[in-house]
Amino acid sequence: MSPGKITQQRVFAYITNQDQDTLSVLDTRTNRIMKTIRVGQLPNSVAVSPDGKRIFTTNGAGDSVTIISTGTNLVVQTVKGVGAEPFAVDFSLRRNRYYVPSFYSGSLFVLDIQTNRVLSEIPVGNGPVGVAVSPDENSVYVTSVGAGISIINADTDRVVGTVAEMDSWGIDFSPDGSTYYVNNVGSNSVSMYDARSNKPLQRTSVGLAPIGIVVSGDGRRVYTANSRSRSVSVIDAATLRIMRTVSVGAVPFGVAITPDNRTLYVTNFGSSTVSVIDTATNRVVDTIRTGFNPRGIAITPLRLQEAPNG
Amino acid sequence: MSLVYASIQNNNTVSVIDTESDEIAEVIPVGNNPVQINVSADGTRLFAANGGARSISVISASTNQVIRMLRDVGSEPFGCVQAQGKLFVPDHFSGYVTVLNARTGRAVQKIPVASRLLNAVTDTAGRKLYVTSLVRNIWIIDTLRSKLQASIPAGATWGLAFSPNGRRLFVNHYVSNQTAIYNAGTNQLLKRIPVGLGPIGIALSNDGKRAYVTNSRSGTVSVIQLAACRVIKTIPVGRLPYGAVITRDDRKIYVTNYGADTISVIDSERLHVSRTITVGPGPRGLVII
Repeated sequence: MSPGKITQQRVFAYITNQDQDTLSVLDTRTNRIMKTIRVGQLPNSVAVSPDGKRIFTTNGAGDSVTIISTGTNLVVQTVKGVGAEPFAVDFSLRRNRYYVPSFYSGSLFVLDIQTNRVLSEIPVGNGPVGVAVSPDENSVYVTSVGAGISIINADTDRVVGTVAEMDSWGIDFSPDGSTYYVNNVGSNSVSMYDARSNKPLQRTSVGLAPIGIVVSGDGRRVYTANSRSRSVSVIDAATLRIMRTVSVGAVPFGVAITPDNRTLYVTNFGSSTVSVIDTATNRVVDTIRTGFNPRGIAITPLRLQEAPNG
Repeated sequence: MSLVYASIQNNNTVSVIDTESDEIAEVIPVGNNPVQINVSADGTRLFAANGGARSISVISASTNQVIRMLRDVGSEPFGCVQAQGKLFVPDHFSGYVTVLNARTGRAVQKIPVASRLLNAVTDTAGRKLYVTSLVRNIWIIDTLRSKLQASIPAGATWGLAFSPNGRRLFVNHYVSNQTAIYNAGTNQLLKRIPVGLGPIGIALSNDGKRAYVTNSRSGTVSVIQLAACRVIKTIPVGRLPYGAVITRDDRKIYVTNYGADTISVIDSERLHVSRTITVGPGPRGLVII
């Protein structure tokens, strides 16, 4: 295969249909669902490993993680022992680890990406919901209903600090790792933090109950899914100014962006659809029917596109 | 004879337990992911809120059969409480309480309330509906007018119950690990009692002397003596205790262990678990009739 064809690499969006126990594989070129894969019970989130090889779903009622090969779209393993109601996943490939916060356990589970063994369980507090590994892979941030944002040292697996902001949910870093953005689901706002000092830099009101958040790969935009306002806020990442509010379906939950930053996908939990937004015009260009109650969403990362021979 | 009904979230059923034998008498198939179960004021109907099906299964208490499926509800119904000839359905994600005509089963109104709504109960007169939220406050809805009337400031709240005389409201504060007692007439906070981690369910004894609180993260039940407003005993139960109900004679408390697929039966005299009943996966809501 010539290097020129590598850019033709297909980019997929993976969507968990929470109340059908399935994962939909959507081809972003055609916006068609190509395959639906059975996973564990109540899949509430999905993430793709940064090397693009594996898809991980957390199964809220299965108390498990399902691992799927992106090459074959087949389940390769189901991992148990991740506490009660696992809620999200993020990765540190350098450390060979992934991190799973579990809501009812009040802990962050640390697993080995090769063996899928639980290496440690770190208590964080009541109701952890989101997780993000810093781009330098030195810290893990966990958002929660009642314990603020816990900052964990990835070397020691210990909580080294807490940002006292209740009701946080979606969290994502700027690509350069200098800042991170957090949805404050309770106060209907998004906050930008300095990643070194963990001090809030800026705060902006968005729609009601923002859940999903994503920073574009070029670091210029932040998008939030406002679950109670049927909208997505398009935000300037540098100033946190709202540039546009885009109407989508009922209970928008997750957001993910393609590696070329041109297209944003939003799961509408209450409409059983995905809205496709053109990021140049900030308009909905397509609405795709999914399974029942689509919740988590993740897209093929940039690295897979760059891999030789795909 | 009393019966306990438990919603078994992860196999889409309601288990019926005979409180004399403490055996499962019947298993009723309902919709997807029943999170909570409620009973009508007259005790003839049970409502299973199917969180994963956008529906409510209505069960006849005399036949233990689903007699009706209500589909005109929100995206994740979390309960269903009858009052004033209406059904009030708090929706977890959309933040609405959907109001249905109890006879027709059709939605007549959607009341915007708050994010992440959880449990709901009415006062003894059925005039006010109290709804908790994982974000904040206790929200009070006028059931006659179907309008949001007031809110009581609080952090994240979950299970709640009235004292038998209706004068006190007990609310579990999930985040601050406390059970709070309010004057139901004035909404004034009277007392906060520290319990275990992540308190969810609460049951009040019919003699008004005790409250039993499930501490989800501690795997225990706190027994509160109400005269002294203090915890007199902490009883280990199963993993992730969720709901709690008490028999009419106050002798037994039933607790769903969401993470253990069991129901613990607590002897209120000896204050220990006298029996553990294996049920289906993910037992959650409980009612007793």
